[in-house]
Amino acid sequence: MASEYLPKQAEILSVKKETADTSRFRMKFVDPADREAFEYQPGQFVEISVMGAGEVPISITSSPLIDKGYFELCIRDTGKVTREIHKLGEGDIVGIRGPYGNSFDIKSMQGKEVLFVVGGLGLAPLRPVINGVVASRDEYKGVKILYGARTPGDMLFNEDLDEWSKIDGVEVLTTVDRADDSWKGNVGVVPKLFEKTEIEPKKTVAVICGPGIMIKFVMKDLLGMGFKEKDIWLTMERHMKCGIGKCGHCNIGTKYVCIDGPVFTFDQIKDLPDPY
Amino acid sequence: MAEKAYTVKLGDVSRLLGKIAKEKYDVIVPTTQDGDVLYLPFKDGMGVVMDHGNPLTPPKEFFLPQTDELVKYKKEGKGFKAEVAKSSLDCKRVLFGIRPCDVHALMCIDLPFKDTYDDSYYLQKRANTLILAMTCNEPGDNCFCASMGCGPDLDDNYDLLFTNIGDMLYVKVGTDEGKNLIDTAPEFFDEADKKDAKARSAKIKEVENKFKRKLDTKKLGRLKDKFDDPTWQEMADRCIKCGGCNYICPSCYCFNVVDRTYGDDGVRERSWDGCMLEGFTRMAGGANPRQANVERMKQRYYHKLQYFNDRYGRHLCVGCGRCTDVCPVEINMVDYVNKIIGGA
Ligand SMILES: Cc1cc2nc3c(=O)[nH]c(=O)nc-3n(C[C@H](O)[C@H](O)[C@H](O)COP(=O)(O)OP(=O)(O)OC[C@H]3O[C@@H](n4cnc5c(N)ncnc54)[C@H](O)[C@@H]3O)c2cc1C
Ligand code: SF4
Ligand code: SF4
Ligand code: FES
Repeated sequence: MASEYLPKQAEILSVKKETADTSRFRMKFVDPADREAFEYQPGQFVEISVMGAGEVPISITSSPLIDKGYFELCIRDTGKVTREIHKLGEGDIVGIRGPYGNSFDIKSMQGKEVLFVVGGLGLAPLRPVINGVVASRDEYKGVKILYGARTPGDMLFNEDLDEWSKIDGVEVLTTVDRADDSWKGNVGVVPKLFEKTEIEPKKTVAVICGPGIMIKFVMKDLLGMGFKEKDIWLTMERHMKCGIGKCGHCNIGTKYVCIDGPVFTFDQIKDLPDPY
Repeated sequence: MAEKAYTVKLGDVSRLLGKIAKEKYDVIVPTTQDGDVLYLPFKDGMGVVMDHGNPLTPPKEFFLPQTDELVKYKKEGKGFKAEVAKSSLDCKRVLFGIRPCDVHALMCIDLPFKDTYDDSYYLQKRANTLILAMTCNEPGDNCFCASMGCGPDLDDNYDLLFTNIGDMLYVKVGTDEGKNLIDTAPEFFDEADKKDAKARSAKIKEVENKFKRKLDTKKLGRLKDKFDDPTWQEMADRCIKCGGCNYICPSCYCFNVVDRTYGDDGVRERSWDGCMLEGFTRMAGGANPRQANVERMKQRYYHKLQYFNDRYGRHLCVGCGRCTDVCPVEINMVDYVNKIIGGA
């Protein structure tokens, strides 16, 4: 019997510590046929498992355009399964199912400015989206990346932020909730960064990912600026088990976040009860 | 009238099922145990109940068992080996006596379990099980299947359909597989005549007139404007969050997945879960989009009576009344929903 629940084996190639509790795991499927078959789009996720601990959904943070022959997950150590993943290193084998979920239709954003509003770990799923957009930079009117973290030490993908900021027409603004002595930049919540740049709502699409509370404030500001509901893209996070629309955990209104999302435009979810 | 119909004498049913069991089928029947009617595997000489109301527990456990193994694994060095767990059903099976409401509940579960991805564990059990349904004898105190269009008769989705018409069962044939079953034991079947068909219609009419409860389904569309109705809070305050209504429901299908390891070997299995339980939507770090019980109460009712219908074109409640039967604090689904939608 075929089973969508059977994980495939993937070997960890390297682990890069991003922050105190978050690391980037590079891996590849053990079976070349699985490697061949694994085609993903920015915004999709996998179910990763450690046998005995369980299985959790994690966004793919690598880019299909750039990262060939391997894929990457950026994982925060927060509970039972993620703690076990963090004990693993080079050569260890994990289980992978997927890719699952829908993705960002970045082609539909062409001709506009793309405004990324990102908090904390939200940069992990948006990284391949940003890479996809900057790879065809000329097709877009411009790119703005507004990124906030709790402290300077919690900033992810510092090298990428650096690289992106050097590209013509890409503006990167960062902020932290709490600064330390080394920090010379902005202090305050992400929406505060709106004051630091020019935004033309009619010519811009916004892409948001971050903690629920951040999304709540950002949404209010964007709608206040006059953004169209269908020009605001966001990802939703829900407790997940199966990742394939069966277990019911991620159900919200008529949607299952795992198969209908995790990527939505605001008009698709605004009428759902408590979307974030 | 298209299909040929048959009759079986009540006194012959046990022997008929015994013969079917000797062929290549597992047979499950309603039987009495400690005063309750339950579905259990048929054994020779077992009493098969044919004049009961709906059994206490629905037959969903035969398709979506309380726990079902998904994957077997073995930890090895730096990794593991994994394979699909051997299915709990690889032979043909006959489920006798399942009620129209419970057949409808399976039709409900079919929809998400075929949506985008196939759930092979469930679908294999469905495909391998012949549905020998029985129209309702007697609605229970909390039954409202007639309001939901799920009983007391059944239009399709059965292999054979029985109706108790006194000293015999009237038999309608729904599929070729059902007809084949009759052909394996033809000595038990007589062709039905006009009088038998009349007796069947009369029995269905009689049952239809016995329902004490009606959900005003025509007004269910009003639910979408009732999200802030204070009645939800009233219900949530009474509820003791036991999850019984989820587990007993024939169409509730949500599950949890856990790994159990014994030494180096282990199994990843799923088990029933319930949206009324607080941990159902809790995320790492403690954030919970349905923290308050009133939100979970609304989720259950809206999923059953609005969301599922909006997505799949039918309600996720078949009106079996079991959630009301088991609720320790007597939260009566029909009364509360009628109150909220201003129904009869
Ligand atoms: C689409 C999606 C993409 C995600 N991407 C990332 C990512 O790139 N990096 C990252 O670090 N985290 C990501 N998460 C969150 C991650 O899934 C949770 O941190 C993880 O499930 C916690 O599991 P745990 O066993 O360590 O924690 P526990 O608190 O012990 O959780 C127990 C179980 O609850 C469920 N669960 C708990 N929290 C969540 C949650 N937030 N989302 C879904 N299920 C949950 C899981 O089934 C988990 O096994 C993502 C979540 C979703 C839904
Ligand atoms: S919600 Fe209640 S009445 Fe409806 S199918 Fe489930 S148990 Fe039966
Ligand atoms: S059975 Fe009754 S008390 Fe238990 S969770 Fe359901 S509504 Fe609440
Ligand atoms: S995670 Fe199971 S239905 Fe979405």
